Amino acid sequence: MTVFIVRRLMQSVLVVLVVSMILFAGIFAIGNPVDILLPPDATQEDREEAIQALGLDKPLLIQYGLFLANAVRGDLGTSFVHNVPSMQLILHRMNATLELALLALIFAVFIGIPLGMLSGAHPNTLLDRTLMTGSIFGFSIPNFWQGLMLIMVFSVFLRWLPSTGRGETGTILGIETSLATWDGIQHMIMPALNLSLYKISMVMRLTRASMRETLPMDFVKFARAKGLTGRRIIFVHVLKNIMLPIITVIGMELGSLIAFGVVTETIFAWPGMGKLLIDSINVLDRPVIVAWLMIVVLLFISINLLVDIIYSVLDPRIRLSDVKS
Amino acid sequence: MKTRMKALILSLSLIVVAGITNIYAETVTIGMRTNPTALDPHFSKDGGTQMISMQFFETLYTADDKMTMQPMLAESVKVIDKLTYEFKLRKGVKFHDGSDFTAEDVVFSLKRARDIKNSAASFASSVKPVKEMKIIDPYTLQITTKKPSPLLVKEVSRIYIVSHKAAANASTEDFNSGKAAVGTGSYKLVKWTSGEQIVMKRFEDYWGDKPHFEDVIIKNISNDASRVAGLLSGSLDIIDQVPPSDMEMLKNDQKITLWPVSTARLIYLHMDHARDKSPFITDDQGNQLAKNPFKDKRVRLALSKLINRDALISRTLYGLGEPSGQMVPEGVFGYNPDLKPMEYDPKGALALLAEAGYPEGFGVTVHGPNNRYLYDAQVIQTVAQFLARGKIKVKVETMPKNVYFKRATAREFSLFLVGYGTSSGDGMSGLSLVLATYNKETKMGSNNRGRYSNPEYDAIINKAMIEVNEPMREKMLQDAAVIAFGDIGIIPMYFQASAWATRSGIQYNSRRDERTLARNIVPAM
Repeated sequence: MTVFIVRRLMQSVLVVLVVSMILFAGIFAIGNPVDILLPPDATQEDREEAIQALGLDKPLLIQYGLFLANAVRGDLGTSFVHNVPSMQLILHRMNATLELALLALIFAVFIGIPLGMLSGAHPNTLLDRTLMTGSIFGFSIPNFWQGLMLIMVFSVFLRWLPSTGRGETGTILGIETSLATWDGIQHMIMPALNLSLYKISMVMRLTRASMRETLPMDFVKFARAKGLTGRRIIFVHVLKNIMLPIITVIGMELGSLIAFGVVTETIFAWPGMGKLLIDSINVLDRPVIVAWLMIVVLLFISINLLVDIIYSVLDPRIRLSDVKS
Repeated sequence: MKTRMKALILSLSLIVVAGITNIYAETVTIGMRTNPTALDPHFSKDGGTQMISMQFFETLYTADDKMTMQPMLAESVKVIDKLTYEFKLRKGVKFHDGSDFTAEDVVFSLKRARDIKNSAASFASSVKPVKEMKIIDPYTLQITTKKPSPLLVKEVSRIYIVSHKAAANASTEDFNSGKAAVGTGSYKLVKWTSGEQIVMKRFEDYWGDKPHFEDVIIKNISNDASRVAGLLSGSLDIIDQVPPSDMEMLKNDQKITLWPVSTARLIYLHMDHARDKSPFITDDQGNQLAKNPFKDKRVRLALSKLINRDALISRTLYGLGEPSGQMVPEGVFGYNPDLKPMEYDPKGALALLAEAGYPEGFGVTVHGPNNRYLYDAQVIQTVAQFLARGKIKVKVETMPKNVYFKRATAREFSLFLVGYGTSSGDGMSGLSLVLATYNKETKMGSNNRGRYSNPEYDAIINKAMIEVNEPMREKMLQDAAVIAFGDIGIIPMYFQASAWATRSGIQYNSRRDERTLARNIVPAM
């Protein structure tokens, strides 16, 4: 197990290095940040000064070298736009994104799995068909439209929930979060729901499929024959067996919830990481874009590792061996 | 029983108090499209950051709602000789921390703006003409320039005055946290959450007219639909940059009032004046033309006549624009009342094109950004339709601004759409940056991406650059505009308009410079 983890970590370093190279070259090719950052009435003189101030006058390879040298020391550069270290900027926004992703994940798990099980346990009934048709809506409605509709219904017409922002925050265990106040929670419900509708549908369908696959298996029949109650069979034995694929998918989706909540964050003006990325791309704030993507790559790698570990815990048949595949 | 009674009275009185504060809670919540990069007023001169700086900080002079210069922290300025200006400063002005405003703060702020590090858009060039600053007494400051600089007062008036005590050795982060963000403005900072909101409070010791609302929250909401939804749901009291497509709906809503204004941002077409063969000009078969038609004034004039500015504004922009025939709108220094927008005249245009040797037109690609100006991509498509009426075969290509401007500056295009916003209230900058002959050494014409060049025009502009007599300078700018626009150096189309929307009951005193200032929000009459 230790060998496995160490090896995976070493692979990660390589991945991060390659990603940083691609990123740097890619961002260099897009455009010159000075064109965007300077106001239209800037003079040629301003331009040259800005280019120098941002270190853009050096050749690409030297810029990359400087970046790597600083990155090793934990400094991912200072934002061109905000004049604060990009790491600090991203970590500050991370809280907001993580709490949203977490709530969305909770929705996905605690709504998706029970509904999927219900559906799977009673296939081809009216309930099953309603849920399955509903789930099609869940993952085919465009995220931005769905968000706007939520706002229209719950904020504009019903006036139940606030439409934008993070609301009041409090601290739980020293972490600043909206979950600490009622106002904050109210602000979170809609964006979290918007993020999770797709995930709920997916988890639901996955759970249903697994249920359908598992229910006819011998061990279920055996358990029935043994006289176990239906409830015990489903919630203990079947649930354990269907969890594996669901955990894989949820793990992967958690990464995307954190990294790509851009649309939701923009619509609900949620001050999270996704919005930071889009804002930074729009003004070509190179240090922030690079730092952001590096952090997300690391995040994905660690989540995948974590999923593999949970896997082995859930199913003792799986060994985390050093397979060269 | 007694305790219950007490509890009842207590809760009742609480309700009453809550009720009263509800009625008189003078809080206003603004939905703002832009987001400040920092609260350090010297760090970046981008619009979004300045809009926030202006809430807390003030300048020597300032542009009023119509963009005419008015005294603010300075009471008057006297030109002593060609190189020396004497500012009389306002007395009795307090900083948010209670200290007095004096000449020392001005000197400190100007120096700080000049020396700011890591900034892509610093104010350094505004302070560059300054050679020496001499404090005569706490309320008199003499500034000597290196060479005659007629724009000096306007340039130093771009610099926000910070407290020399609170901001001594302050970094950008000190401003962001609020520690150093001590100004003389009518509001003071309570708390900034980057990317989300700015909370501020009225400054009770403000020297001028106090703003109406005591508590103001600015929410930074870049998404147009979310901003409108926020207003409709009642969580926002006022929003800026109303999207044109929602104008009609909001106009018909009884609970909403619109406050439109046309701005000083000119949207114009720039064309390649310099090259004999321009990259995107073709014949009918799509082969590059050997001759660049834009070098012929008749062709340029024809293009301008083909554009139906009124239709463009009413149909494509939902009324959010004002036709233009020059660089700046009325009220801005250098505006020439004789220069009218070009009349729509397709027949005349066809005749001109035929005369110039293009009776069957030619092929051209119009380039433009698709996320920079109000409805830019749609405007370019509309322009293409207009040009097609002159038998010009038009292709349209739009791209995100971060890609577009790099290519436009590298002169990769033949005909392209750009905007220029005059932010200083002085027409000089636009005329010298957009239309003067490009010259890397003298830094003239740096926005002249079409390389228009006219020696007669350059001569007047060069003279105006060193003229300190204001009426004479104004005449020069007006004359220069007649030459350049008579020559169709660029094709001016319209001043982009902007609108605020408020819930009924409050009013926004709209500003030409598109700034959303809390102090301009007042109860409706």
